[in-house]
Amino acid sequence: MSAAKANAAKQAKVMPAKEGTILDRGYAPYQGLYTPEASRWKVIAGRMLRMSARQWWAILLMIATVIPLLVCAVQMWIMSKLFAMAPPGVQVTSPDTYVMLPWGTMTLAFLLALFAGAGQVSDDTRAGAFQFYFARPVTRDQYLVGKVVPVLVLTMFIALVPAFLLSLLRLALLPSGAEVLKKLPLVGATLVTGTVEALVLAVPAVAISSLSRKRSYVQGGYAILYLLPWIMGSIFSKVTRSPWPTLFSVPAHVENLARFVYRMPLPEGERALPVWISAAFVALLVAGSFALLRKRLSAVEVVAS
Amino acid sequence: MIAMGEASRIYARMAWLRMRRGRVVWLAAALFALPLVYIAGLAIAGHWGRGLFDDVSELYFRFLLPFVPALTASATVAEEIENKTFTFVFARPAPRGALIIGKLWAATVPAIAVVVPSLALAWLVAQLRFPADMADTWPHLLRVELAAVAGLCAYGALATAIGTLFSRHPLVAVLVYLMLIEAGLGSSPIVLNLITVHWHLRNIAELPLPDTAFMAFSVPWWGSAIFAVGVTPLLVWLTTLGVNGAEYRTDR
Amino acid sequence: MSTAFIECEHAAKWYGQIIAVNDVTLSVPGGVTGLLGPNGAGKSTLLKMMVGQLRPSKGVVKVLGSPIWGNPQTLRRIGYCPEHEGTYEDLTGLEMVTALTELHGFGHDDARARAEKMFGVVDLKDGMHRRLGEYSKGMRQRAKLAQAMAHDPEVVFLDEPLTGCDPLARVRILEVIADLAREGRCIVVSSHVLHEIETMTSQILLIHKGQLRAEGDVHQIRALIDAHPHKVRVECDKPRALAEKLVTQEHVVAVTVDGEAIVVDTRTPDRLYPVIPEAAKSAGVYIRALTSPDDNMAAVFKYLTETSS
Repeated sequence: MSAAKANAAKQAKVMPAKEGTILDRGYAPYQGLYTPEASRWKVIAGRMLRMSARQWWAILLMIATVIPLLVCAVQMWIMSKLFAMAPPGVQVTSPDTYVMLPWGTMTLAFLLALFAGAGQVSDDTRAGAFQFYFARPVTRDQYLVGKVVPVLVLTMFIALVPAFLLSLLRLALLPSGAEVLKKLPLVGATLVTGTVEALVLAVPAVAISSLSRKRSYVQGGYAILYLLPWIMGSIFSKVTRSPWPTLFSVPAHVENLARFVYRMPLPEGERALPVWISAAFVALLVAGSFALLRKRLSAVEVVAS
Repeated sequence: MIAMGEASRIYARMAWLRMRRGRVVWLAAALFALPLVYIAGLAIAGHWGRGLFDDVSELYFRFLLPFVPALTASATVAEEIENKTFTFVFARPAPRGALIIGKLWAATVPAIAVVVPSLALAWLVAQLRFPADMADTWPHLLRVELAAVAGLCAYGALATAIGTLFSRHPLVAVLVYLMLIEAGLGSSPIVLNLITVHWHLRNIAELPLPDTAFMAFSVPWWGSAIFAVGVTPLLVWLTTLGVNGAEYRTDR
Repeated sequence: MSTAFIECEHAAKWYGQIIAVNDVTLSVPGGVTGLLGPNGAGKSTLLKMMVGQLRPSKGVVKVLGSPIWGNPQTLRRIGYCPEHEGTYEDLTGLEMVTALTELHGFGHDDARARAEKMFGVVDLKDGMHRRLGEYSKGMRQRAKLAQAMAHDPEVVFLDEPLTGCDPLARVRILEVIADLAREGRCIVVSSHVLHEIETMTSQILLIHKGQLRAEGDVHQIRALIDAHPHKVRVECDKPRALAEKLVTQEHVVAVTVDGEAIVVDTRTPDRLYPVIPEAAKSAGVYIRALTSPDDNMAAVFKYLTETSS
């Protein structure tokens, strides 16, 4: 230590600091490759997907989806035979109808989104997990994507995959290549409607999950969003004979869009909202949910609770 | 051991204090107010009479009566397990069944106190234009009110029972039951609809019943009332049996 | 002869293939008894069996002479402060303790008065009208203690009672525990913090891998542990000279020089103690301090849990 330093320390009446020594035990910073920052969401999504897919409720719901799939497949096969054999002028239900899964998987998809989506952000809020996530080079947007993707994938499994398989079966039941080419848009229709249904169920579930720490509140809120307008809309549209009470009903809009995409006419005496309103509602719901989720996450301060 | 009635009263008071300070009770109150807003709007638009009242009653019987107890009563035991507060209450010399009864009481009584006047008000609004018909239609209102009260008790007990059985996901388990069994089976044209509370409540309330295509069975409305009223103590007893012998762990 | 407040007779608890408590037979007298054990030893499971929240898979657990499982009469006479932090967030501290005290059979006003008194005892009177959700860790801990004691139980079970408490709160709680013991009650305290248990009591129950490894006074237990010679540390001015004198003694197993002290290993410390001053006198050594570093709970804990690992 220099004399001047020691003198200064003495004058300051403090203990002079020891000169530093580095004990080289061979530590060297990591020089290898890191995964791209933009793909960090895959780590979160992969883990959540693996965890959710192993849960008994996810397995049960996915198995339950097979039932309407099988029933519609059998009905489609029977109808395709009858359709081919029916004399002209005799009305037979088109086999294409069964691609739309008239037995419906929306209830199952809703339940899966409820199970999988409700805890995505609320569990992390309650457990203080943000302290772990955001002490790492993970942005809020990557966290958001990582949380939405697993719910979306699981919901698509119910909303899209059965309809897609049925559309392939439909093509397989057609007698000629020309017919197959003619019916090819059916496959695209299943992809579009399945994606829309999955988005409209999965994204709001995760967005609502960001509003509360309590999973039961999230589940209740999501159930109200889905069920109340649907039931109120169906009752009051019957009373008023107008489709406008279904304005806030998610299932009504999804069904309306599906009819448009599949080019299925409405049953006699029924009226539906204009398709552009359903499209706008769905777009607003999904975009609004993303915006809400982003806003809630950007407000997260990582403090110990 | 402290008496069941006294213990239930204490648990009910605790639960009511907590519900009042939470959000659920205000949400439930808002939900029950919604039909009144709708019926007022429809009345102004020129829809009147018993038909309108029945249509609005559909909202109660298809959604509000099953759903609100699901919100308020499904987590009766589940929240004690999740918050680990069962370690306090089950270390007391009070019957465990008192927890079930007390919390169910706290969830159901306020709901009844809101639904009964709400239905009466809805009926009044629907009948305003034809006051002379009130004399004929008030027995119908009474039947609807009876069905609503029985429904709240029965659905509350159902929600508690199912929520206790599936304590990790109580609300979702109850919703699954309501959507698939009560709504699905209750509206189906097979005789199995008789096992659902939903069918019996509609029978009491003189609401349209699904045409039973196979093994049709006719039940008088008072029979449905006995079923709907009787299912509540049965479910509470079963839930209490389950909770009495159960062990709950804090390390889940 | 003290009457046993708590008795376990071949009590066991298993979950499938996992045996959490394995054939434990013990009795707990009045006063403070420490329940020790490493993580996963079965302390919490045993405590919960004593509180009647877990049913023994085998054997019987009795509190105050009666089996505790499914016995509400006995529950009236016990108090339990669990380890977890869960409480009724929407209730105030006073409301929660009052309601839980009412569940013991007290009238509302009586229960409230008891609750208020207990909040004074645990130094939380200022916070009793605040909601539990707003409480800090230490406040929550004291509220839990208040609910465990407000109904004047004869037996009190405390699971990690000092967790999250600041030093002043710790002192206060230790005083409360000591007061309870002086009144003739039985207090079972489970803790990982051995020196805190040591300030409260020398009576211990040591659990390891679900089995009861030791029961009784910690010093007597230490004397029984033959596998580990006792250590006696002597600080002096001429350690080597003293070591030379002591190493020849037949009951000395080993002598280690440790700076300005020596550490003597012996299986019979009672015979060693009179020899040390004689040896020091003959060697002309000045002794500054004489201690027994492993005649304590930490050493007992370590020796008994190490051997079975």
